[in-house]
Amino acid sequence: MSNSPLIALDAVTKVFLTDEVETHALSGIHLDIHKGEYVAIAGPSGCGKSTLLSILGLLDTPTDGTYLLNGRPVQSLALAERARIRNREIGFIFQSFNLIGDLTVFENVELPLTYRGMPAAERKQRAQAALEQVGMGHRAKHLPSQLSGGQQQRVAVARALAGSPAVLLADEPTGNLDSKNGEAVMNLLADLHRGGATIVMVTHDTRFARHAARSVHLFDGRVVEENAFTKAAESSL
Amino acid sequence: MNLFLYELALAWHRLRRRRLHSAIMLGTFAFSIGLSLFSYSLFHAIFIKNPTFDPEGNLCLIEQVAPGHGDVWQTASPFEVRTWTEQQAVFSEFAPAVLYRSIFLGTPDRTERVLGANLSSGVLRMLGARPLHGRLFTAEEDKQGTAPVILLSHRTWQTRFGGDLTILGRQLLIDAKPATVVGIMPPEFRFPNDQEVWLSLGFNWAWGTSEEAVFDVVARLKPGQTHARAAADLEQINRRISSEVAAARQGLQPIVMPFRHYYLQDQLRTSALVLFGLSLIFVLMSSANIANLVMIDFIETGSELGVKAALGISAWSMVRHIVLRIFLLTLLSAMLGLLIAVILTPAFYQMLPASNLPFWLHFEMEWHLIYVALGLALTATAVATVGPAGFILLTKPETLIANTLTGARHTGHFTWKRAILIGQMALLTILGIISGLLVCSNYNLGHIELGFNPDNILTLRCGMRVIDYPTQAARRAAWQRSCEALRQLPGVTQAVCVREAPMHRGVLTLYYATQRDGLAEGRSEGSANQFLVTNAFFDLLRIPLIAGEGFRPDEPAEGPNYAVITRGLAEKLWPGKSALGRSFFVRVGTNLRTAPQELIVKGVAADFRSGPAMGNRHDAVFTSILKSEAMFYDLLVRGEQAPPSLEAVRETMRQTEPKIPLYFPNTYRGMLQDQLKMVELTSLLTLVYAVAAGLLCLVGVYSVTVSQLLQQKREYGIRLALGGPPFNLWLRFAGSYVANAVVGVAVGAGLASLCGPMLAALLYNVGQNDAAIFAIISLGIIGLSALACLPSLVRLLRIDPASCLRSL
Repeated sequence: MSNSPLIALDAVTKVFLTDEVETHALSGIHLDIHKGEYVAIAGPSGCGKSTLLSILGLLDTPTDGTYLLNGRPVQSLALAERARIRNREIGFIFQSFNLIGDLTVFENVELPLTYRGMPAAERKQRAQAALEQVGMGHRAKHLPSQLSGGQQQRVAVARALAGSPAVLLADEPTGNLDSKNGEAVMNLLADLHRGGATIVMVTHDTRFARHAARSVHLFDGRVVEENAFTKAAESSL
Repeated sequence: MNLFLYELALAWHRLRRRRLHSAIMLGTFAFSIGLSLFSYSLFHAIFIKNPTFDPEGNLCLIEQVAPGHGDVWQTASPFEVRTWTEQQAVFSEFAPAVLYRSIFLGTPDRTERVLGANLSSGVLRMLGARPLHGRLFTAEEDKQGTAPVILLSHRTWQTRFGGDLTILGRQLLIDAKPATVVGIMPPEFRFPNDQEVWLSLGFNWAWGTSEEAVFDVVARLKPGQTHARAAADLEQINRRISSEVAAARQGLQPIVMPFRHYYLQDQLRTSALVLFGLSLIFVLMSSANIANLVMIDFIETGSELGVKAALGISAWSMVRHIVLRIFLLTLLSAMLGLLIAVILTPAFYQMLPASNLPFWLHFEMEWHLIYVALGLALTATAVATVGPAGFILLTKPETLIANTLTGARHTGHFTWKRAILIGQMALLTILGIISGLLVCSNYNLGHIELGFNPDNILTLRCGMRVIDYPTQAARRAAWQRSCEALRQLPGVTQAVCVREAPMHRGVLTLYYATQRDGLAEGRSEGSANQFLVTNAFFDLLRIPLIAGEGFRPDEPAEGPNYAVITRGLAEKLWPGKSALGRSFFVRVGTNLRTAPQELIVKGVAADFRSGPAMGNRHDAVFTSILKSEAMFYDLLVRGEQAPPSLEAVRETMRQTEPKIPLYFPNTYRGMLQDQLKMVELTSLLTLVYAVAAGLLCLVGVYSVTVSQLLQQKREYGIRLALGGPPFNLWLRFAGSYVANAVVGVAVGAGLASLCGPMLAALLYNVGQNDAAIFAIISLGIIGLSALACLPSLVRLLRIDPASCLRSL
């Protein structure tokens, strides 16, 4: 783990304006995440977890505050530049998998790489490798609808991994899975973490939060508690 | 009933809530129904509506045509009519008439030209005519030499004779001959057009011998007979009597046509057909457009279906809600469209030159228009609701509910929508190309190099009665006196008598050859327009004489016949040689077997457009009017800065030649414009169709792209989240639609090339498959569709991947 954080949030706020009503989704968030860390962001529904994850993933911009990714301020980048960084630096894993139904498993994994302008041969090699890594290489030609929920989520993880992102952002990755499949996905993330991946996971389930080395608890848009879990901390060394 | 009213109110509220959407649908469809009803009304008046004198539509007109000269019509001789009447077996009624006559009606203070016709008693019987006062013609009065009798139209009786009943039995001067008024017709009797006076058949000065061809024949087909069969029957009779008729009339082919065609020029019929065809295309396009707009509405409110399904509302009820809402909209559009048609149609008829139109070609608000408007509303409703209704009926309720819970918005009709889009593009291309061809043709017509100067010229039609001007010398003196007097008017630079004015529809045709036997047996080396002129004609129209000389003011009536010909004709007759002093032979008029006349070229004039504006024949032969037997001619008077005042010209003529009636006043420019009015209006209307269709397509592409984007919002949310550059995503998205447009345009261009032959009569100096027009329109439409994809870029940029993904 290097000294300068991979992600550094300083006094980040997010205010939504709806019908002249101001909703403070995030209020003055300070958060540093170092390379190779596995951080769980936990909290009750409506506490601002997903908003924070959207800002971390450059899907949204903070109303105020600064966000440094790899030491570079990214809070006010243009749309296209944000898309470029998202494509190269960030891998997403969503609760509802968000695979594109019309594309095969392989094409879904290959999709983010196509936006990089990567040569086809390299693209295919990396997509195949990512699928093998999550144990889905044999299902490359299937459509998402032909897979179980757990398998779909593994494909989503492969898609996130394929581009070798700086950080994996997982939004309730087990939310749509049964406990067995949920556990399998969590083990997969743990394996990735052990392999050196930086993971930020949003969850409201404290059982799964304990898979991370560190958990950040949000309440009403503020960080109210931070914990470090020994097992995870040990495994991250 | 209560439920229906509730649903109706619900539909109304939904339309009101989505004001912009509803307004676009209402506006586009009202406009398209309006234009369609207008075109239908024109089509109905020309092709379907029967004139009041022929409610069954089975009245026919019989003319004859000489073989090989399809455009030269001939009337029938008394012998032919008599024989046909005796031997024909296909008509239930059959009677002769002279349907068009310029008549000089003499009243105590002056002589006026009025429109008249000779009708036999048989024609009046056939029409079921009843006099308002007096009586009709008797069979005896059909015979030549019987006492001249006339019938007055109600309008003439009222306007010229103040509704005085004592006119019955009185004598009026018709073509300087006294004729007794025996009847006054009711106002509703109009035949074949707005005739003011009807003469008995026996009262026909042109009826010289039994071989003189003077008669049109009006007949009624027996049930089950066709026009072609009737013509074949008459042709057989012609063959049987060929040895009994003059050589000039041997081999004539009878033509039997619906009577309504008598007054409807080919151009008008073609225009009506083209406009009607285009309007059908337009309706299809606007229906497809409504369908697309409905799909957007349907997709955007798709989650409502799941809620309704969860509440236990049946699929049929949901379909009924949609159908009711769309029908309400199309019904409102139909009402607005009807209003547009009611305003547009009379205005269109108003713009056409009245002299070219039959009296029944006018707008009437009739029930069938309302039925057509309702039909269009129902068709549009059916087309627009078939997609959503199909989806609702074919999808299980639990799927609808699941879709609501997951936010999925699949209607599964992309292929259907793309097919509609391709169809729309094809239709737009057809409209665009036809419009482009017509506009280009119209532009060419407006920029014709005339070769003469038609500005500041007043034209009037004149006629002379034999009784007033019995000899050629008398007519010649009258022409010279009247032109001389007119030249003295202040501001007048020249005045001439000519038959006919160049580019007039009725220009005379002659056939020519360099040798006399070159005209034997109907042969010729070519045809040219013939003009009877004085030398001042060339000065008045600023047509330079480039070799030789013109006619002398005192051209002798006897002696050799001299001619001035145009340069192009001289080059055709004697290529590379001087035409001066050479002679050639001509046969004038429709009678192809009359003896050729020898003409000696004494001058060559510069080429100019001499034939009708849409025609292609412009070679001209000028002979002296002073040597002609012309009784009708055009008076052309040129002013210095502007056309001379009509009143001043009339007054001068009244003082100089009071017995010559003047009619059809116009400016030369006006006369040329009148010829092109129908083409101009057709071109204008197709342009309106094309522009409107272009707008519809813009809306169409917009609605399809936006609806697809809405349906794929989730997918695009994912793609954006994965770092897909928005602009690249949009390029790929829009590219697929532009590709569809290219397919549609290719199909449309292919179909448009098939429409070419139908348009030929309306095109001037532009090919039916003009590559430049096809290319410009095709590229324009592809560009237009690319432009219409732009709103989808805005929509794409508005997709918030975070909220989009969160909601899933």
